[in-house]
Amino acid sequence: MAGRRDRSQQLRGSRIAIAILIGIFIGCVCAVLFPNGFFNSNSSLAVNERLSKSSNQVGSSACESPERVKMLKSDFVSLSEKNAELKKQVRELTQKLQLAEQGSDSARKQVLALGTQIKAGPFGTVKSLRTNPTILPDESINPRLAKILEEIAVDKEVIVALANANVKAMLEVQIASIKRVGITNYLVVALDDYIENFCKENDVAYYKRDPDKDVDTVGKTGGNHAVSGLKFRVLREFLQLGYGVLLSDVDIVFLQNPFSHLYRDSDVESMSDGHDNHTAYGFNDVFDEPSMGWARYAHTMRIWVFNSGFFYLRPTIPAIELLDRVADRLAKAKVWDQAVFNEELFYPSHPEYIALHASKRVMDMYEFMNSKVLFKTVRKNHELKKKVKPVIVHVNYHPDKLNRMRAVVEFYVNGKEDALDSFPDGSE
Amino acid sequence: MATAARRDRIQQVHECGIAIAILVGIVIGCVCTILLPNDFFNSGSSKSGLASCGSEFAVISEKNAELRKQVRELTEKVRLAEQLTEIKAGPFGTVTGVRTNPTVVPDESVNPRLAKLLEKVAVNKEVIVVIANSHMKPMLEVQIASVKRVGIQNYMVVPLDDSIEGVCKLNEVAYYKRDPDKEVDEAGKSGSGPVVSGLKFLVLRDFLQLGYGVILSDVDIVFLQNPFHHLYRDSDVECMSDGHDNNTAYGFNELFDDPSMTRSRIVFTNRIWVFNSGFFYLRPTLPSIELLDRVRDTLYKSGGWDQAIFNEHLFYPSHPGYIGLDASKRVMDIYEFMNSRVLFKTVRKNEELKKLKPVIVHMNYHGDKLERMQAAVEFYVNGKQDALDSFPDGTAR
Repeated sequence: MAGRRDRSQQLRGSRIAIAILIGIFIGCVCAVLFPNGFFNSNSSLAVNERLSKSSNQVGSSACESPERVKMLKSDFVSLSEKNAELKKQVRELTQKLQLAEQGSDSARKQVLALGTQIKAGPFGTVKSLRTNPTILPDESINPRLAKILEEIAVDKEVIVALANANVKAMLEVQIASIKRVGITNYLVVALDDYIENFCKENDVAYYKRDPDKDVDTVGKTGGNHAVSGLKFRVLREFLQLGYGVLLSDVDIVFLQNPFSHLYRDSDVESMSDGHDNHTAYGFNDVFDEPSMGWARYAHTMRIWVFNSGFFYLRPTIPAIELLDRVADRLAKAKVWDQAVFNEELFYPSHPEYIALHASKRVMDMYEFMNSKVLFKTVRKNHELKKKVKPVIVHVNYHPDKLNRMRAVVEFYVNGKEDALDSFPDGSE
Repeated sequence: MATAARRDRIQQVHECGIAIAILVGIVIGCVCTILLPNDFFNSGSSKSGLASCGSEFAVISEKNAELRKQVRELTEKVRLAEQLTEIKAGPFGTVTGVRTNPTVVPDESVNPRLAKLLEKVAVNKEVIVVIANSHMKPMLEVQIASVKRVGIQNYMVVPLDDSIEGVCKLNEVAYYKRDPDKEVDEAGKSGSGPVVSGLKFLVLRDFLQLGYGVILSDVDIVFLQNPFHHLYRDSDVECMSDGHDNNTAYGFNELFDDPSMTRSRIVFTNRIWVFNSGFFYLRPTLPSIELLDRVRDTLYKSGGWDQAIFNEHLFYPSHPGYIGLDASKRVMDIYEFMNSRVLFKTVRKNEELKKLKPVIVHMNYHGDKLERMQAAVEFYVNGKQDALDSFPDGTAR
């Protein structure tokens, strides 16, 4: 009796145990089927949300089943790619902001300074700006010119030459050289009717300004220096319309297309009046003052002037400021435009003077050749005579310009070896 | 009968009990599910791999959110900037370009020790820095005395050896001793002025990167007023000149005569006496930092005099094979920031000019610097009218 009771008690106990085990087993099955608990369904969440949830359960809970592992791994890859893309975007936007910030005036800069992220990198990696941002083109300042430029400019660049009847012969030689090289973006600013007709006859693009008493008087009757000064008023509109301008005097022969030889990394890119690497590109001209004994040698920075008869301006604020400064000074005093052009470019600020800050580049003196280099150096040197192929030759150092221009054409175009020989180094 | 009934009841109780037991089991299972929503079977081996997976996810998704925020902010800023700045050129006479470049974002991580020191010493985020070794001790002492007399707080020395460190401690002058660097320390001990002078282009970089405007001063300079009250701060580089009059100091048009060119014999050239690399103010901008790097690089690669190289990088335009630096420049007033040629060849001989009070006097043009510095103090501070008279214009070789 007792045995049976024991056994039945045992049986009862084991049944209860079994029952509990069954219950736990069912619970485990639930655990497998509903891994996140009963209350959240995860199938509809996007990657981010899924991940943000799993990131809330940092460490142990984000990665569970093999399927989820694969899913999360691919999410990881796409996130990494997205991050790389975003980093690139951040970089580009920062640069954009920097550029925009660079060109603004001080008041606006205050606002932008909050977001400027200019960080200096380590030694050797810092490159400050020299290629300034271009201005927003403004057609409204001269719709007529805008139309002309739209037709003839190439890559928003154009050669501009100012001419009046006095220089017709030289202009003719220049135009012939332009056509020979095949340059199409060349424009003459006709200062009188004669040149206007001349351009029409020779199928050359021209622009006649609206009448302006001051400009027209000088344009028609002024000597070459006075006419030269006009360029600083005329060119402003070209820049404001957003065009890069290559200003050329009429005493220049074109032998190659200059646009293929520009760096375009500075506000002003100009040919030099210098005759060797030192004078053209700058040198340390040591000054000797013996009375100072121990310190008799003073170092000085010296450079031959930029030639204001051939220069390229990018349509930037500093370039426009340069034109304004020169035009302003020329209007106030009888000074040589080339001297003023250079003073504004080179002098630093000093007491009672705020300097222009424009980036500058000197053109290669053998590519963009002045006539001193040609007649004093190149034509007497067999190597240079043979190997140097100038882009332009500017007969700036000599008054007998027309003859020398023709001789340049004979030598460089027609191959007449002795075409340059008869001329003296200087002038008669 | 009772037994059967009891047995039935017991059986019923058993069955209930079993049901209850099963229910209890299920409840326990469910509770486990809720409390530990991990999969029991997989948690073991893969936990190690996937745990890091989880934390990496956390990091990368945080980064993602951060980047998205940055892009949003920058896009807005650029939109605003483009709206505001739309660089439009105004009419004639109204256009002015930027010469006062934006300053860099200070980066303390470059030199935390120096950053801490500058926080204490600088005034308006500006400081005077002097680099000195024991060869210069007497001159440094005269300079320190002058600085204290004027009451300049933001003055500090970079001692190149222990002797100068001692001088600073003794005179309660802020100083910054660089971390040991074999090459620099070697050069630092030199008795040669130019060798030590070249080090400034290495030393000053950290100051600029930390966002501080720096006046670099040589030791042969006497301070008579606070230079910070006389700066324009509108250019990357503001420097005193080696020139002796308005032309040589501020730039002029020097004519070059080549008679062989007959009618075109006269050529115009731009000329300016060099900036004196013994006293200049740098704003913490990219062009300033690029300037320091360029000078240091050229000195390292081809040697030369640092002052010459400093000027070449400031003045030469780009040309074939060379990309020029584009930094805005200002020359300091030659009577405020006076070099010793101006003092001894011009000012002391002119009754009017003698009455001018310079901000600093720099004995750059003379070899007997200490004596002349002391004389300058006698003249300008102690009012001894003939203190400068006994000196020759130059220094005999």
